[in-house]
Amino acid sequence: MTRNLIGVSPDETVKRACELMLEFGIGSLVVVENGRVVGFFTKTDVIRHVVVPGRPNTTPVRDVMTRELITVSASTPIKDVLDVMVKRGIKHVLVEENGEVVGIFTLTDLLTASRRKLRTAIAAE
Amino acid sequence: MGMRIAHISDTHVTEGNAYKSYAYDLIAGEINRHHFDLVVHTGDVTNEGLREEYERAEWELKKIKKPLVVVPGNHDVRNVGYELFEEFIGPLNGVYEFRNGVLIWVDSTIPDLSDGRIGRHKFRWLKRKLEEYSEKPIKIVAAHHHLVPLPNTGRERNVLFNAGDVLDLLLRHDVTLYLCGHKHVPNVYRVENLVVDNAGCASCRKTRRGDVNSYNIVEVEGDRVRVTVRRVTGEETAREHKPLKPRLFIPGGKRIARIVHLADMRVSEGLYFRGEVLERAIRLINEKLKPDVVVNSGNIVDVGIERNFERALEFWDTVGAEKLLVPGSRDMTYLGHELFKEYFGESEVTSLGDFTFIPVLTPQYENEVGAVGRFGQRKLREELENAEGKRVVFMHHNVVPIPGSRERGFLEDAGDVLKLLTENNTELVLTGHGGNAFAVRVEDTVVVNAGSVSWELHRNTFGNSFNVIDVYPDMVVVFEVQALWGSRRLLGMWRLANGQKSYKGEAPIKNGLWPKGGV
Repeated sequence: MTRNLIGVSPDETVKRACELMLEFGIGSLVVVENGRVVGFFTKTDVIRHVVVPGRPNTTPVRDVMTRELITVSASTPIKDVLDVMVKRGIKHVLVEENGEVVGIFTLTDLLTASRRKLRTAIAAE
Repeated sequence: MGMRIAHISDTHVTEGNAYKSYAYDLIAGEINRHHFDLVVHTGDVTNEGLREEYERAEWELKKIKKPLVVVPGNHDVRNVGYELFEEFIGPLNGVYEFRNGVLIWVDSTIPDLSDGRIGRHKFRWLKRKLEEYSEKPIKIVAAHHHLVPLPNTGRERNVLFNAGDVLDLLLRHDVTLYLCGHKHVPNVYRVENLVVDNAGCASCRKTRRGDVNSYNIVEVEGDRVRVTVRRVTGEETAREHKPLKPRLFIPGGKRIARIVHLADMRVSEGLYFRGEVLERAIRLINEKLKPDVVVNSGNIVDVGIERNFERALEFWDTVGAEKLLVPGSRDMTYLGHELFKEYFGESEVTSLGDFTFIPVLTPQYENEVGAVGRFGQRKLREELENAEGKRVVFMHHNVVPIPGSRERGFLEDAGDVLKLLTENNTELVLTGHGGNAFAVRVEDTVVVNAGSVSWELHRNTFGNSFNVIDVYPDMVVVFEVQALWGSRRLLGMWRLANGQKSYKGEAPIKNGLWPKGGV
């Protein structure tokens, strides 16, 4: 997993959020308010909630972010994480420790982990 | 509920002169009088691993009336002492669980050598244990050998051969603390969120720089780690570290600089030089990445002969941005020491916008091991102190161990150089040795190593690569870019610390170089 999380304020525009994703070469952002993760924003949200309904790119992230966070514990074995991702149809999953979001696991991490022959914990950063 | 550990090391018990029994008794007495949950001895219990030394060591260690974990050191395994260690002291590897944490100790010794190694079986065992105890908030690993180069030890030697892999493993598993000894110098570094705690020697006569015997007091409270070096004179120096969790970055302003960092072009007519990859990489740099400056950390040619330099210059001339370079050890072979200057000029301190780029010459003629030297260190100190704005130090040899490579102490004064860089809160250090990309923050200094851009004999599962370093007003982001395909992956990102020279957001832009738009 990646322990470095890139975030955006819920009051930022969708345009700014997309610029960040492009600049950092990532497909999702955590939405942070007062130091806490309050939502999750992905490229799919842009397609589903902005482009297709015809909303302007000045729409605040707050209005289109996913509020229901799908998380796994940091010690969850990879196969269980993949199970969650397949069943929920998601490409990114947030990782929590003691009730706090501490990282993100994506399919890219899986590829890196396979390369490193990590078998059990989602430890690749 | 906190944990208080007395960390002792290098007692070197013997009947001979090396052992100072009065220093040991003084420290053991202090440990018994004060509150400690655990005492950890990180090796070199005996001086030569002899039976009579072990017999006495067993008796001496019994003076400590607290839970005690003892790790073997290189002196303990001399003369097949590793068998006696198990007989008189205890297991060579093991796990000690406490309330909210775990201490895993691992034997890093190699019989009859002063160097260290956590070999493949022990490495896997350590990894398994770290996975098994991943839920524990406090994770401590103890071994004898040092993990990052230490200052005031003279030559950087007797290192852990796979220090890069071990460091990488500990960082990936969010280890709180690494306890070690070996070099008889007390030191504390924060490497990312890992506190690397080196104990000095408790009772050996061989101290360095006229220092006295000492031990460390480690207090772990919540997620804070405080290490106090306590000398037998009663003098104390303390450092406290608090990790940053979670590492949330909310990029504020626009990017102020983009640096492309590469190494190991190794231009030659040989089989392992990949000219097409280098061409692709340069095209990618010129057309897509559009950096403000390209920094080359050396090994421009494979061997220092004229036709290689000629061809290397042809490649280098096609790079469109501002260019800076230092020689690597390969550039200093044969006539390289003459030809490098002839083709590429002298490496000089260069100011670009609000940044000062400081080159450090490390290669020695016909020698893979580099050195900055005492004169070079003095010069570097002055340059760091006099530099304006953010300081980027670039050199060939690595100052932190590189994963995937066999560490041998490639920069002979790496310990002193790393201390100099971190004490001066240097913002960025760029190196290019070892054939693998790696980036890590030591104290407040971000240290980035470049993999090999066009040399087939690299050690990087990502293939040939170079780094892109994006600097924002308050943070630095480092990506590794696949040299052939242009895909990239994040090596790390860090906030700039308060002690570092801040970017003057409205500083005049010199040479029209900073900032430039575009991703």
